[in-house]
Amino acid sequence: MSELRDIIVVGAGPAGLSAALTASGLGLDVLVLDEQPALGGQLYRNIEKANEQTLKILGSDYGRGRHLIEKFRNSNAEHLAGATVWNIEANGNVYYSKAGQSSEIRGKHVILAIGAAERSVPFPGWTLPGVMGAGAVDSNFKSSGTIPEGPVVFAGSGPLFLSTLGHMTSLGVEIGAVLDTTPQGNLLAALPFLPRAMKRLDYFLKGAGMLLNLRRLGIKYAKGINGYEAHGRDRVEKVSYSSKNGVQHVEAGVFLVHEGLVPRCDFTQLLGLKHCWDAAQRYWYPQINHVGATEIDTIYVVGDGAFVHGGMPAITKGSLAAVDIAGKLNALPLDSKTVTLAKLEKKLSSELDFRPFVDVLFRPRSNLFKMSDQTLVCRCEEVTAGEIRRAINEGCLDSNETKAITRCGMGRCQGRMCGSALNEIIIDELNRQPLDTQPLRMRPPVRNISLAELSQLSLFKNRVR
Amino acid sequence: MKHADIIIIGAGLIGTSTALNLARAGKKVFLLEKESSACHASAVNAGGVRRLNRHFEEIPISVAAMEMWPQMSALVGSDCGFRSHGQVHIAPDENSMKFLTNRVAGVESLGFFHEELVDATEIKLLVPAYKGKCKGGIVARSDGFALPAVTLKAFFKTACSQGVEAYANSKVSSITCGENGFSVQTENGGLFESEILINCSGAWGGNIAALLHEHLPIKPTALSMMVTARMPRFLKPVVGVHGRKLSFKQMDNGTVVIGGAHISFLEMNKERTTLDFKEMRISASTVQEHFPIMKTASIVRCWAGIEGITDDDLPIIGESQKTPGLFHVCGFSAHGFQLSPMIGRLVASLVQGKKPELPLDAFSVSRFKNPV
Repeated sequence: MSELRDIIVVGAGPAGLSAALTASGLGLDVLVLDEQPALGGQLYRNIEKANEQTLKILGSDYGRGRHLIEKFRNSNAEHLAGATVWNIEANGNVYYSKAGQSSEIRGKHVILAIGAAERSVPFPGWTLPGVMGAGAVDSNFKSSGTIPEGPVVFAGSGPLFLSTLGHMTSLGVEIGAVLDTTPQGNLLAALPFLPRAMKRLDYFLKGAGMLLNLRRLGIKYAKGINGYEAHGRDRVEKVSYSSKNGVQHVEAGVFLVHEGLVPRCDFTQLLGLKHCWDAAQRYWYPQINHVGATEIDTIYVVGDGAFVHGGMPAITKGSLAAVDIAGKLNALPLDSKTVTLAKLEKKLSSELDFRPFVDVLFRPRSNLFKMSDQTLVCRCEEVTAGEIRRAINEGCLDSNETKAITRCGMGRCQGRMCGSALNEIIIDELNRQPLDTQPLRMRPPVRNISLAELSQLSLFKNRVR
Repeated sequence: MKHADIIIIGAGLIGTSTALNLARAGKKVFLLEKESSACHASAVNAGGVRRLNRHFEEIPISVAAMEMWPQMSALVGSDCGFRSHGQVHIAPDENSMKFLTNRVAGVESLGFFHEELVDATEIKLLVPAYKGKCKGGIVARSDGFALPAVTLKAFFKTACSQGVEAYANSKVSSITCGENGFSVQTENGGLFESEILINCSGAWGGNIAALLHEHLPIKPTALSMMVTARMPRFLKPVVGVHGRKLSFKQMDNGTVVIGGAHISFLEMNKERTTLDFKEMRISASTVQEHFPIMKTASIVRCWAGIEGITDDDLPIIGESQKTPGLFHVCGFSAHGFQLSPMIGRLVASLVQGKKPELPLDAFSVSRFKNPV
């Protein structure tokens, strides 16, 4: 394989596929690295093998991916499945692991299309077997058709929460209760954004249909939930939850939690890029311009990894970056670049009509990270909220210092699970503005590799810097 | 305008330890740090607490410092994570063994007996997981390692509680020297004055000296490390192999920390390090060759810290040749961690015009040709 490519796209979800096929359509040499065995990312996971029943249950938001993947298959872009990227450098060097062998490759440009992850929120009992992310269960269904055995208790908020709930009810999963944590004042705050959002009436109808369906099936649906705990000996057996009506309990075989999606910033933070803070959704996102370019000329960020906007906008964002790079690499004359970018931006803007309403409607509850001292925050290194608070009270001023003292975020996952919680505790304890805090520093390898694999790392013969 | 007896630039471990000792002697001290105290090498180094294999000039200080490490709780209210599991330096061949034999004789001729020559059988007992070549080696049984971030925090906290005024995010932009002493200006608008100024800014030591038009031969260098996921306990002492770039230890929690002075790319103006994975590959091979148990170890994190290295690998300690009242205490060349509690004590005496308990003459900047 050639060592230097025009573009390396990391991630084969909607944004990555769109970027790759747009760029290769403009004559650029594109390689897509993706850690999944099949094309599609999280949204279109395993879609090429999906049967009719699956397509029916998951609906057009999923089915749309078939067309995109078909176009990608017909393009000249190359795809490497099962390739886990573990390091990216500012000069375009990308290191990935495939089948136990790590290699280095370089792109004139790298497009990061690594999507979003479910927000990780510690709560008492969150490490018990049987407690899972709702999105993860949706992914499992897409890849292998497996569904959880009930009674399943759902807790959380957000579009993905509702769509997973819809999928699981359609599949006939036994649902013990739905605990909606959306703050009840959100609707009022979101009203000013309603007129613009009304352009997407179909989304409203879908959401309303789903809620009606829950009622029709007689599923317990509790609103205004402001906290929950999982209980059980060897796995989750019971969930307790609180609202203004006090604490209640429900039996659970599986407890599915989802408190929104957040952009995956591991690589943008590894690269030392500037990040902004979204106050509505409470997450960091990389600072990019209108076409996804970052302050490092080589690096672009597209899709939900840039900001959580969902599948359709991700496709447009992917194309924007590809067109901009094609301009830089002289594959597209300036005037047609300008025209194409303008068209795409207009398209993106209309696709985002719905978004401000959704982002405010599903703004996370204010006590999301108000965990008790006993709550385990860092699963890898077994650090509790109390230990973190003690370190802060003894003089730690930011998350990286707190990490060095408590080991919170130092384990295998490098803080992917606990990083937000750690930072939120700092914001709380020191009464900081989020923008005055620092996310955890990332270090390569962003995914663990074995020492033996590192010792066999395949590098360029003539390495230049 | 703020006035103190002494300004220390750099709140790493050397600066903080010096500040602590001066505050305990009743001096008013400002400790200026361009970022926060725990940003660089002092907090992210390998944490070796080692007398073994020191440069002869450093041995007296290292031995004295070693007596302080087990007493850290009394000194700074924390044991600093110090573990006295020993340090071992293995001779892979006859030539290395000959070299180490002569070395131990040399150390003993100075009146120090902490380095012990041992045979291959003893190495096997001490480091059963070692499968590389071995003709014997040297051991310092009460050496060990500590936790750098915890150590720095403990020193910093104690220094502040003793009255040291620490200023974070205070990068020094200019220094002037007049009849009444030094006037130090910081980028965030601070203005500080003192009679005595101490440059404890590690890899940035040369930059600080340059503000007073003095040249210090300190070369900033980024040294790489890596750490694995937890492994079953298989190693107690810290291990090095003569002539090989390997420094290897297992922490109490089971993680294995691998160093060996593998150099990273460094953009000093941006303070940015980029790991050189060609070097990391060599490091991984070296580890595997000597410790086959490590083949399946999972690498969790690699990083590099910026160290100030001098031409002869010895620190620069002493009064400036050019500006009286200015003291340089930097360039510890990646082995200052263990020395720092003692360095603070010695430098505190030195700047107060007292005779330090141990001589510092060997570290004078005058040993370099044309330093000014």
